[in-house]
Amino acid sequence: MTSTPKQRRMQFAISVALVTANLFLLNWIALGNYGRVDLTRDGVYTLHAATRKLLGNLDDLVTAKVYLSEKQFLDNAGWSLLPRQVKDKIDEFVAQANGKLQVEYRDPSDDKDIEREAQQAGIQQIPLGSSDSSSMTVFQPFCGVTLQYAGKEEVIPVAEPPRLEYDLAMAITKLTRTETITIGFNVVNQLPEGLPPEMLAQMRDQFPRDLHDIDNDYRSLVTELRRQFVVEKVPLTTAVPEHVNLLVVANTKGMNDVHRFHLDQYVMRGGKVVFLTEGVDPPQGQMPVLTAQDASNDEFFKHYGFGVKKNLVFDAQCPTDRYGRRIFYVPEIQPRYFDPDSALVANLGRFMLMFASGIELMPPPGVEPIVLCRTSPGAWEQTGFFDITPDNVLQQRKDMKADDLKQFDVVGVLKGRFTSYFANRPLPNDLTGASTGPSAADLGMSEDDVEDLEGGDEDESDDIVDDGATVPDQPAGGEHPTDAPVQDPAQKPATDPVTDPTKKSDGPSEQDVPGGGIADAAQDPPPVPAPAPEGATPAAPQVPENPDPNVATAPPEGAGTQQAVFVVKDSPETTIVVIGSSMMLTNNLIEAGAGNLEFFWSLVERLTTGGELSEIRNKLIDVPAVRADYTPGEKNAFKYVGMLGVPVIVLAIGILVYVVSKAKSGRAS
Amino acid sequence: MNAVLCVAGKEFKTYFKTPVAYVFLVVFLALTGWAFFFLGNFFEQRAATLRDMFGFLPWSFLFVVPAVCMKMWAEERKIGTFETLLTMPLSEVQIVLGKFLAAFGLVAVALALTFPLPVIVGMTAASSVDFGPIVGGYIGALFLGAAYVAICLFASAITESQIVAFILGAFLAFGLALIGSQSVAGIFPSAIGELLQLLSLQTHFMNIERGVVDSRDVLYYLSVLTFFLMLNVAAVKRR
Repeated sequence: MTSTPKQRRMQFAISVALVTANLFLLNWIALGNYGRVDLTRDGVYTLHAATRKLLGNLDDLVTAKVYLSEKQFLDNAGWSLLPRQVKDKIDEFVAQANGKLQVEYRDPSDDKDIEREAQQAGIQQIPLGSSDSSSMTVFQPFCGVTLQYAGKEEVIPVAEPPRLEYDLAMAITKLTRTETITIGFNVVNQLPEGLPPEMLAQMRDQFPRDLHDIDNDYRSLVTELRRQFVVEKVPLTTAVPEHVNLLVVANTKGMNDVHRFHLDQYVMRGGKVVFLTEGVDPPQGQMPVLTAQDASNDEFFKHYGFGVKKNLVFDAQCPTDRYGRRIFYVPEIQPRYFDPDSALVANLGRFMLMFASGIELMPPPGVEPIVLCRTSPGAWEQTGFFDITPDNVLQQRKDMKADDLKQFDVVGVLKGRFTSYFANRPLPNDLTGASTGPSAADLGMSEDDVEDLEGGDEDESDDIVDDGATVPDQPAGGEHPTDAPVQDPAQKPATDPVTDPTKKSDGPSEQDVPGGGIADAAQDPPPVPAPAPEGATPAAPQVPENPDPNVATAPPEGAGTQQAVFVVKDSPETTIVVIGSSMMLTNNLIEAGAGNLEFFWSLVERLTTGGELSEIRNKLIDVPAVRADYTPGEKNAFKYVGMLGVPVIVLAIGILVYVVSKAKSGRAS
Repeated sequence: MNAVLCVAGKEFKTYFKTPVAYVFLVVFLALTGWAFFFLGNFFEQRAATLRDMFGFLPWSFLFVVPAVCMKMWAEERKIGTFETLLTMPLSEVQIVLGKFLAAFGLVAVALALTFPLPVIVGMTAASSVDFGPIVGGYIGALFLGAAYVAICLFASAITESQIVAFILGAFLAFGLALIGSQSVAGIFPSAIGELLQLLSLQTHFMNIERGVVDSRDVLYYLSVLTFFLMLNVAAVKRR
């Protein structure tokens, strides 16, 4: 049966419609199922697997506004490529986000409204210089991004192309992360709170090294960490809150047994700790002669498998000033001296250690030691007498023989299951609010794991000891008068939830203290408000009802009143990192761009989140420059030959063909 | 396939028997060189890259590809060879594909003749040039050129006037390139704006020209080709 032309047209129209529909469908399906080949030499457009995973897992729309003064960048010599670099990177994000990232570019160059909008959004103007052969101009463009997701907003005030992938990924992570990661930050010898500013200033002048203040000395680090994490002050005078995912202990001088106990129990509960500590007190004011730290922490550290040497390390591999002069032989730790197999430091850059001491790892059974970073082989040490006068250091370097130079371990990791430092030791007498957190059941331990220990008697098979600790007659802190005040037990309720092992601490809460400081975790979780009546004598807290019949409560020897204290004796798998310098995180080194921030950040990231994001490396979409030594004549030659050379040849061939064909046709006719 | 190549070969040679191919090549190469050296300020920006040249291609193609394609069908009709062509033992699909390959061949030759520009980039760069993006740029340019040819060929098939075919082809290509730009897509609600960007010739080209070959972009261009060549066949059949 033959069809009419009308029927054929109809059939063809239907075919066209079907093919079109299929093409749409195919493209639609391909949006979520695709492959990409990055032809660039260094794969500069290939986002890191962690970024791709992050973008692929977006479940709702992220909207980004890119405030980019494109016109200003293009108009200023030397900066014209930047907008493209930013856009290329953002385009890659869009391409990988399966429609879940929507980007709007806004150019504030000639628009005051957009400029105001950018400023209100927190985007910073960047003062930049642009120079051509005759003049130098300064301009202040915007190049920043705001991201919004589910009512939350993150701002990248300055989007630098090399690190834009990391910044964007971090901002999106923070927007979409449902759980909070809390970094506990401890400085044992911190400046006391509540003192008049003049007195604080005086104390800081007098003891610039001994007395640290997180809100000041580590402000830059904390500000950076807060971009991704909640940061809480953890004074270690009470139990470390459970929600603290990583504890940073910067400067361990003045640590007493109460601090050690809470630190120990944090580790026993699986907490990860980064120690930044040295064996020699860094300089006090202008004093060039330093002293070794006392040995009070040595046993404690040794128990976990590390030691901090009482030495001061200098290194020929050190930063130089603009004239190429070595700066004080401060060790600059190079990536080639990192452990090549450790993911914790993979792909990281150099960093600087000031007044650093060597560390040594001597792990107990079940703990794996890894030396993460070492100095260069051109390092040496001062021991015994520490004189950091530049002349002395220089002379020492000159006198140094080749045999005296060697590598020093400066960063190490201990991974494994640790035993409690207090398993075989009496508990400190002045534990207050001494909850060690979860009950045996919370820790997932069987009843067999839990045994009773009375007053410091040991039983090696114990995992948890329910011990009694004396309530001190006076507030603790004798060894460290500058510690945050310890809570008076009298002001704690008889059924203090902190001492109640059946209760868990509250969830994470970042409490900014006035002035933008760090929330004090000592007050978190807050005790149930049950203030003692005025004038009441301190009452002995009652021993809480034992939640587990296998766990008995009994006071230690000589104890007067008791609080139930559960001591965990064995830790699950956890990690302790040791860095032989607490100065590496202070403001001046963080702000110096010496790589310290990136190094430490990566450690924190990798220890708390598995560190996928921190593996994102800076990538610059690098375009080689055109040589600058061409004369105007040479430039013109390139221009006109490049632009007109081939067209002229083509034109000549065209004319030749035309002439030949004309001649042929003329002859034929 | 032989039939297709036969048609393509005949059409391709025809280009060079008339001034069309030469004028096209001269104009295209001069425009491209001007965009690279003067519009992109090659020596002032001091960036050893061909991105400015590739970035200008969607617009330079707008002038020259419709000129190459406008006569393909329109002239056949005008001089009365259209019916003769259809009486030949060839299917409409073969004829359309043959004409498409001929015009696309000319575009490919034009792109190949831009070779002095990457040579100059390589010569003048202070350090080694990454040729990945340059290769990507040429791959993207071929896809873009093929899409333009398919669009303009269709425009030529639905009219007898070469001028109308030129304008219609340029308008369609311009529209498909422009809808993805921020200034157009940005004025629509996000979902529509996103759809417009997905449909845009330029959006997909920008991805490839920086050196990233994405299966979605390749599929998009193949879809555009299929769609317009299919419409072309329909237009020929209708006549």
